Amino acid sequence: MKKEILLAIIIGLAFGLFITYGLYRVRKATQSAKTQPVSTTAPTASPGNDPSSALLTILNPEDNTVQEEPSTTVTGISQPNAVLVLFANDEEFITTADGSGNFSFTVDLKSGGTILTVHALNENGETFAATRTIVVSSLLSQPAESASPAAETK
Amino acid sequence: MKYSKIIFTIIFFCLFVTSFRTVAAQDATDSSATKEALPKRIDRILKEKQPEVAGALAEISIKKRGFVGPIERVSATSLTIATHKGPLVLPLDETVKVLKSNKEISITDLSVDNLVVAIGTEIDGTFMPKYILSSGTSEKPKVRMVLLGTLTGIEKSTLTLKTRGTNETKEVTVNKSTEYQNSDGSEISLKMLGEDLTILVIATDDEDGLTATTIRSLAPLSDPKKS
Repeated sequence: MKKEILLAIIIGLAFGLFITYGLYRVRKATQSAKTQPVSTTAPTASPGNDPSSALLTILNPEDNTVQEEPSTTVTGISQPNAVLVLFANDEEFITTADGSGNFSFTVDLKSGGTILTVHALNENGETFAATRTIVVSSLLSQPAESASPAAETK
Repeated sequence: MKYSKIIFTIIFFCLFVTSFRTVAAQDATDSSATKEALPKRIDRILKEKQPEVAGALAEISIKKRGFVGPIERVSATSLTIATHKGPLVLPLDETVKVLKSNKEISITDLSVDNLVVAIGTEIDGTFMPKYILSSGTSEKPKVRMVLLGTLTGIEKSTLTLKTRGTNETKEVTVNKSTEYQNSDGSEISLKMLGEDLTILVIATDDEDGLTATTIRSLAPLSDPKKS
Protein backbone atom coordinates (compact mmCIF):
# COMPACT_ATOMS: atom_id res chain seq x y z
CA MET A 1 0.00 0.00 0.00
CA LYS A 2 2.79 2.43 0.92
CA LYS A 3 4.61 1.61 -2.25
CA GLU A 4 1.50 2.34 -4.31
CA ILE A 5 1.00 5.73 -2.61
CA LEU A 6 4.64 6.68 -3.15
CA LEU A 7 4.41 5.66 -6.78
CA ALA A 8 1.22 7.68 -7.19
CA ILE A 9 2.90 10.75 -5.67
CA ILE A 10 5.93 10.45 -7.96
CA ILE A 11 3.83 9.93 -11.07
CA GLY A 12 1.51 12.77 -10.05
CA LEU A 13 4.44 15.10 -9.42
CA ALA A 14 6.10 14.24 -12.72
CA PHE A 15 2.91 14.59 -14.70
CA GLY A 16 2.01 17.84 -12.93
CA LEU A 17 5.42 19.30 -13.54
CA PHE A 18 5.32 18.27 -17.19
CA ILE A 19 1.98 19.98 -17.74
CA THR A 20 3.08 23.01 -15.71
CA TYR A 21 6.21 23.39 -17.79
CA GLY A 22 4.14 23.13 -20.98
CA LEU A 23 1.72 25.80 -19.76
CA TYR A 24 4.60 28.01 -18.66
CA ARG A 25 6.18 27.83 -22.12
CA VAL A 26 2.86 28.59 -23.84
CA ARG A 27 2.29 31.63 -21.58
CA LYS A 28 5.80 32.92 -22.17
CA ALA A 29 5.46 32.56 -25.91
CA THR A 30 2.16 34.43 -26.05
CA GLN A 31 3.48 37.18 -23.74
CA SER A 32 6.65 37.78 -25.75
CA ALA A 33 4.57 38.00 -28.91
CA LYS A 34 2.37 40.64 -27.28
CA THR A 35 5.29 42.70 -25.91
CA GLN A 36 7.36 42.78 -29.12
CA PRO A 37 8.70 46.35 -29.66
CA VAL A 38 6.63 48.24 -32.23
CA SER A 39 8.52 50.32 -34.79
CA THR A 40 7.68 54.01 -34.43
CA THR A 41 9.11 55.00 -37.79
CA ALA A 42 7.04 54.74 -40.91
CA PRO A 43 8.37 52.34 -43.53
CA THR A 44 10.14 54.18 -46.30
CA ALA A 45 9.22 53.39 -49.86
CA SER A 46 12.04 51.83 -51.79
CA PRO A 47 13.10 53.90 -54.79
CA GLY A 48 11.73 52.41 -57.95
CA ASN A 49 9.31 49.56 -58.19
CA ASP A 50 11.86 46.82 -58.17
CA PRO A 51 15.46 47.95 -57.85
CA SER A 52 16.84 44.48 -58.41
CA SER A 53 15.27 44.21 -61.84
CA ALA A 54 15.77 47.80 -62.95
CA LEU A 55 18.76 48.67 -65.08
CA LEU A 56 19.03 52.05 -63.46
CA THR A 57 17.84 53.35 -60.11
CA ILE A 58 19.00 56.67 -58.70
CA LEU A 59 19.10 56.61 -54.91
CA ASN A 60 20.39 60.14 -54.35
CA PRO A 61 19.53 62.98 -54.78
CA GLU A 62 15.78 62.96 -54.46
CA ASP A 63 14.02 64.64 -57.37
CA ASN A 64 13.29 68.38 -57.00
CA THR A 65 15.58 68.76 -54.02
CA VAL A 66 16.40 72.27 -52.80
CA GLN A 67 19.70 72.58 -50.96
CA GLU A 68 22.26 75.21 -50.02
CA GLU A 69 25.39 73.11 -50.53
CA PRO A 70 26.98 73.72 -53.97
CA SER A 71 27.71 70.03 -54.59
CA THR A 72 25.92 66.73 -54.52
CA THR A 73 26.70 63.04 -54.76
CA VAL A 74 24.67 61.13 -57.27
CA THR A 75 24.43 57.51 -56.24
CA GLY A 76 22.46 54.62 -57.61
CA ILE A 77 22.25 51.04 -58.67
CA SER A 78 22.62 49.70 -62.17
CA GLN A 79 23.71 46.39 -63.63
CA PRO A 80 27.15 45.09 -62.66
CA ASN A 81 29.92 46.74 -64.70
CA ALA A 82 27.46 48.90 -66.65
CA VAL A 83 28.86 52.09 -68.18
CA LEU A 84 27.27 55.22 -66.71
CA VAL A 85 27.29 58.73 -68.09
CA LEU A 86 26.05 61.70 -66.08
CA PHE A 87 25.09 64.99 -67.70
CA ALA A 88 25.02 67.99 -65.38
CA ASN A 89 24.63 71.38 -67.03
CA ASP A 90 27.23 71.34 -69.84
CA GLU A 91 29.48 68.81 -68.18
CA GLU A 92 29.61 65.06 -68.66
CA PHE A 93 31.03 62.43 -66.33
CA ILE A 94 31.73 58.77 -67.12
CA THR A 95 32.07 55.92 -64.65
CA THR A 96 31.55 52.17 -64.43
CA ALA A 97 29.34 50.40 -61.94
CA ASP A 98 31.06 47.99 -59.57
CA GLY A 99 30.43 44.25 -59.41
CA SER A 100 27.22 44.86 -57.46
CA GLY A 101 25.98 47.56 -59.82
CA ASN A 102 26.60 50.46 -57.43
CA PHE A 103 27.84 53.73 -58.83
CA SER A 104 28.58 57.22 -57.55
CA PHE A 105 29.38 60.66 -58.99
CA THR A 106 30.31 63.80 -57.10
CA VAL A 107 29.14 66.90 -58.93
CA ASP A 108 29.73 70.59 -58.29
CA LEU A 109 26.57 72.61 -58.72
CA LYS A 110 25.99 76.20 -59.67
CA SER A 111 23.49 78.39 -57.91
CA GLY A 112 20.04 77.86 -59.39
CA GLY A 113 18.57 74.80 -61.02
CA THR A 114 20.46 71.85 -62.43
CA ILE A 115 19.04 68.92 -64.35
CA LEU A 116 21.03 65.75 -63.71
CA THR A 117 20.59 63.01 -66.30
CA VAL A 118 22.19 59.60 -65.86
CA HIS A 119 22.48 57.18 -68.80
CA ALA A 120 23.30 53.53 -68.14
CA LEU A 121 24.50 51.17 -70.87
CA ASN A 122 24.80 47.47 -70.32
CA GLU A 123 26.88 44.93 -72.26
CA ASN A 124 24.07 44.42 -74.79
CA GLY A 125 24.05 48.10 -75.66
CA GLU A 126 20.70 48.70 -73.97
CA THR A 127 20.42 52.25 -72.67
CA PHE A 128 18.33 53.53 -69.80
CA ALA A 129 18.16 57.09 -68.54
CA ALA A 130 16.93 58.73 -65.36
CA THR A 131 16.65 62.42 -64.53
CA ARG A 132 16.72 64.38 -61.29
CA THR A 133 16.27 68.10 -60.75
CA ILE A 134 18.22 69.81 -58.00
CA VAL A 135 18.13 73.47 -56.99
CA VAL A 136 20.86 75.27 -55.08
CA SER A 137 19.35 78.20 -53.23
CA SER A 138 19.29 79.73 -49.77
CA LEU A 139 16.15 81.78 -50.37
CA LEU A 140 13.89 79.38 -48.51
CA SER A 141 16.14 79.45 -45.44
CA GLN A 142 15.88 83.21 -45.09
CA PRO A 143 12.98 84.99 -43.38
CA ALA A 144 10.52 86.27 -46.00
CA GLU A 145 11.17 89.95 -45.16
CA SER A 146 14.95 89.71 -45.37
CA ALA A 147 15.13 87.46 -48.44
CA SER A 148 17.00 89.53 -50.93
CA PRO A 149 16.62 88.73 -54.59
CA ALA A 150 20.15 87.46 -54.98
CA ALA A 151 21.40 86.12 -58.25
CA GLU A 152 20.03 82.61 -58.07
CA THR A 153 19.50 81.86 -61.72
CA LYS A 154 22.23 80.70 -63.98
CA MET B 1 -7.15 -2.25 -3.85
CA LYS B 2 -10.18 -0.01 -4.05
CA TYR B 3 -8.69 2.34 -1.43
CA SER B 4 -5.42 2.51 -3.23
CA LYS B 5 -7.16 3.50 -6.49
CA ILE B 6 -9.18 6.21 -4.75
CA ILE B 7 -6.11 7.58 -2.96
CA PHE B 8 -4.12 7.46 -6.21
CA THR B 9 -6.79 9.49 -8.03
CA ILE B 10 -7.17 12.06 -5.23
CA ILE B 11 -3.41 12.61 -4.89
CA PHE B 12 -2.98 12.90 -8.63
CA PHE B 13 -5.78 15.45 -8.89
CA CYS B 14 -4.52 17.49 -5.92
CA LEU B 15 -0.98 17.63 -7.24
CA PHE B 16 -2.13 18.67 -10.70
CA VAL B 17 -4.43 21.43 -9.44
CA THR B 18 -1.86 22.73 -6.95
CA SER B 19 0.93 22.98 -9.49
CA PHE B 20 -1.34 24.63 -12.08
CA ARG B 21 -2.55 27.22 -9.57
CA THR B 22 1.00 27.99 -8.51
CA VAL B 23 2.02 28.74 -12.09
CA ALA B 24 -1.14 30.72 -12.77
CA ALA B 25 -0.52 32.81 -9.66
CA GLN B 26 3.08 33.46 -10.72
CA ASP B 27 1.95 34.54 -14.19
CA ALA B 28 -0.74 36.78 -12.72
CA THR B 29 1.88 38.50 -10.56
CA ASP B 30 4.16 39.00 -13.57
CA SER B 31 1.28 40.23 -15.66
CA SER B 32 0.09 42.77 -13.10
CA ALA B 33 3.65 44.03 -12.59
CA THR B 34 4.04 44.42 -16.35
CA LYS B 35 0.71 46.22 -16.60
CA GLU B 36 1.79 48.69 -13.92
CA ALA B 37 5.22 49.30 -15.49
CA LEU B 38 4.03 49.57 -19.08
CA PRO B 39 2.24 52.96 -18.92
CA LYS B 40 5.26 54.45 -17.16
CA ARG B 41 7.56 53.12 -19.86
CA ILE B 42 5.28 54.41 -22.60
CA ASP B 43 5.18 57.87 -20.99
CA ARG B 44 8.95 57.95 -20.64
CA ILE B 45 9.56 56.88 -24.25
CA LEU B 46 6.97 59.37 -25.52
CA LYS B 47 8.68 62.19 -23.63
CA GLU B 48 12.10 61.15 -24.91
CA LYS B 49 11.01 60.79 -28.52
CA GLN B 50 8.67 63.79 -28.70
CA PRO B 51 11.12 66.29 -30.24
CA GLU B 52 12.39 63.67 -32.67
CA VAL B 53 8.89 62.68 -33.77
CA ALA B 54 7.76 66.30 -34.07
CA GLY B 55 10.77 67.14 -36.24
CA ALA B 56 10.27 64.13 -38.44
CA LEU B 57 6.57 64.85 -38.85
CA ALA B 58 7.28 68.45 -39.83
CA GLU B 59 9.88 67.27 -42.32
CA ILE B 60 7.48 64.75 -43.81
CA SER B 61 4.61 67.17 -44.20
CA ILE B 62 6.61 70.22 -45.38
CA LYS B 63 9.44 69.81 -47.87
CA LYS B 64 11.48 72.35 -49.79
CA ARG B 65 11.01 71.71 -53.47
CA GLY B 66 12.37 73.15 -56.70
CA PHE B 67 11.31 72.67 -60.32
CA VAL B 68 13.19 73.64 -63.46
CA GLY B 69 11.89 74.06 -66.98
CA PRO B 70 10.78 76.40 -69.72
CA ILE B 71 7.50 78.28 -69.40
CA GLU B 72 4.68 76.68 -71.37
CA ARG B 73 1.94 79.13 -70.42
CA VAL B 74 1.75 82.25 -68.29
CA SER B 75 -1.17 84.28 -66.96
CA ALA B 76 -1.79 86.68 -64.07
CA THR B 77 -2.88 83.83 -61.82
CA SER B 78 -0.86 80.84 -62.95
CA LEU B 79 2.33 79.67 -64.57
CA THR B 80 2.84 76.38 -66.39
CA ILE B 81 6.35 74.94 -66.50
CA ALA B 82 7.42 72.02 -68.70
CA THR B 83 9.36 69.89 -66.23
CA HIS B 84 11.12 66.65 -67.11
CA LYS B 85 8.13 64.78 -65.68
CA GLY B 86 5.51 66.82 -67.55
CA PRO B 87 3.72 70.15 -67.23
CA LEU B 88 3.41 71.68 -63.77
CA VAL B 89 0.78 74.37 -63.13
CA LEU B 90 1.79 76.83 -60.41
CA PRO B 91 -0.72 79.15 -58.76
CA LEU B 92 0.50 82.74 -58.53
CA ASP B 93 -0.50 85.42 -56.04
CA GLU B 94 1.05 88.50 -54.42
CA THR B 95 3.14 86.32 -52.05
CA VAL B 96 5.08 84.74 -54.93
CA LYS B 97 8.20 86.74 -55.82
CA VAL B 98 9.49 86.74 -59.39
CA LEU B 99 13.21 87.45 -59.62
CA LYS B 100 15.52 88.09 -62.54
CA SER B 101 19.19 89.09 -62.28
CA ASN B 102 18.99 90.27 -58.66
CA LYS B 103 15.82 92.28 -59.20
CA GLU B 104 12.20 91.63 -58.50
CA ILE B 105 10.17 91.74 -61.69
CA SER B 106 6.51 91.44 -62.57
CA ILE B 107 4.90 88.24 -63.71
CA THR B 108 4.05 90.04 -66.96
CA ASP B 109 7.79 90.25 -67.70
CA LEU B 110 7.88 86.48 -68.10
CA SER B 111 7.27 85.01 -71.51
CA VAL B 112 6.75 81.58 -72.99
CA ASP B 113 9.95 79.48 -73.39
CA ASN B 114 11.82 81.44 -70.69
CA LEU B 115 13.78 78.99 -68.56
CA VAL B 116 12.67 79.35 -64.93
CA VAL B 117 13.29 77.77 -61.55
CA ALA B 118 10.33 77.57 -59.17
CA ILE B 119 11.20 77.24 -55.48
CA GLY B 120 8.69 76.66 -52.74
CA THR B 121 7.33 74.16 -50.28
CA GLU B 122 5.42 70.97 -50.76
CA ILE B 123 2.74 70.41 -48.15
CA ASP B 124 0.92 67.08 -48.26
CA GLY B 125 1.91 66.58 -51.88
CA THR B 126 0.85 70.07 -53.06
CA PHE B 127 3.60 72.40 -54.26
CA MET B 128 3.23 76.06 -53.33
CA PRO B 129 5.76 78.34 -55.08
CA LYS B 130 7.45 81.14 -53.16
CA TYR B 131 10.00 82.29 -55.72
CA ILE B 132 10.14 82.15 -59.50
CA LEU B 133 13.70 82.69 -60.72
CA SER B 134 13.95 83.65 -64.36
CA SER B 135 17.15 83.38 -66.34
CA GLY B 136 15.72 85.52 -69.12
CA THR B 137 17.00 83.05 -71.70
CA SER B 138 15.02 80.75 -73.92
CA GLU B 139 17.91 78.53 -74.88
CA LYS B 140 16.79 74.96 -75.29
CA PRO B 141 19.08 72.37 -73.72
CA LYS B 142 21.16 70.35 -76.13
CA VAL B 143 19.97 66.86 -76.97
CA ARG B 144 22.66 64.49 -75.73
CA MET B 145 23.19 60.93 -76.96
CA VAL B 146 25.20 58.08 -75.51
CA LEU B 147 26.16 55.28 -77.90
CA LEU B 148 28.03 52.05 -77.45
CA GLY B 149 29.38 50.17 -80.45
CA THR B 150 32.21 49.09 -82.67
CA LEU B 151 34.23 51.43 -84.84
CA THR B 152 33.82 50.45 -88.48
CA GLY B 153 35.31 53.50 -90.19
CA ILE B 154 37.67 56.32 -89.29
CA GLU B 155 38.04 59.45 -91.35
CA LYS B 156 39.46 62.85 -90.57
CA SER B 157 36.22 64.39 -89.37
CA THR B 158 33.85 61.43 -89.24
CA LEU B 159 33.70 58.16 -87.40
CA THR B 160 31.39 55.33 -88.40
CA LEU B 161 29.97 53.26 -85.60
CA LYS B 162 27.97 50.04 -85.56
CA THR B 163 25.85 50.24 -82.44
CA ARG B 164 25.72 47.28 -80.11
CA GLY B 165 22.35 45.61 -79.78
CA THR B 166 20.50 47.47 -82.55
CA ASN B 167 23.34 47.04 -85.12
CA GLU B 168 22.61 50.46 -86.62
CA THR B 169 25.28 52.31 -88.53
CA LYS B 170 25.82 55.84 -87.18
CA GLU B 171 28.06 58.54 -88.52
CA VAL B 172 29.50 60.80 -85.88
CA THR B 173 31.26 64.07 -86.62
CA VAL B 174 34.43 64.79 -84.69
CA ASN B 175 35.98 68.23 -84.33
CA LYS B 176 38.61 70.08 -82.30
CA SER B 177 36.41 70.00 -79.22
CA THR B 178 36.07 66.22 -79.28
CA GLU B 179 37.93 64.58 -76.44
CA TYR B 180 39.40 61.09 -76.88
CA GLN B 181 39.84 58.97 -73.79
CA ASN B 182 41.44 55.68 -72.90
CA SER B 183 39.44 53.18 -70.85
CA ASP B 184 40.76 54.72 -67.62
CA GLY B 185 39.71 58.22 -68.67
CA SER B 186 43.17 59.46 -69.59
CA GLU B 187 43.46 61.52 -72.74
CA ILE B 188 44.58 59.85 -75.98
CA SER B 189 44.71 60.92 -79.61
CA LEU B 190 42.40 60.01 -82.47
CA LYS B 191 45.29 58.14 -84.09
CA MET B 192 45.20 55.54 -81.32
CA LEU B 193 41.70 54.48 -82.28
CA GLY B 194 41.41 51.60 -84.70
CA GLU B 195 38.67 49.73 -86.48
CA ASP B 196 36.83 46.98 -84.57
CA LEU B 197 37.48 48.84 -81.33
CA THR B 198 34.57 49.02 -78.88
CA ILE B 199 33.94 52.62 -77.98
CA LEU B 200 31.57 54.77 -76.00
CA VAL B 201 30.45 57.90 -77.83
CA ILE B 202 28.87 60.91 -76.15
CA ALA B 203 27.45 63.25 -78.73
CA THR B 204 25.06 66.14 -79.24
CA ASP B 205 22.24 65.60 -81.67
CA ASP B 206 21.04 68.58 -83.73
CA GLU B 207 20.07 69.46 -87.28
CA ASP B 208 23.67 68.81 -88.38
CA GLY B 209 23.55 65.27 -87.01
CA LEU B 210 25.63 63.71 -84.27
CA THR B 211 28.69 65.60 -83.08
CA ALA B 212 30.92 63.77 -80.63
CA THR B 213 32.01 65.55 -77.47
CA THR B 214 33.75 62.54 -75.91
CA ILE B 215 34.90 59.22 -77.36
CA ARG B 216 36.17 56.64 -74.90
CA SER B 217 37.77 53.31 -75.71
CA LEU B 218 36.36 50.52 -73.56
CA ALA B 219 39.48 48.44 -74.07
CA PRO B 220 42.76 49.70 -72.60
CA LEU B 221 45.00 51.12 -75.32
CA SER B 222 48.73 51.55 -75.10
CA ASP B 223 50.50 54.43 -76.80
CA PRO B 224 52.83 53.00 -79.47
CA LYS B 225 55.24 55.90 -78.88
CA LYS B 226 55.62 55.00 -75.23
CA SER B 227 56.06 51.25 -75.73
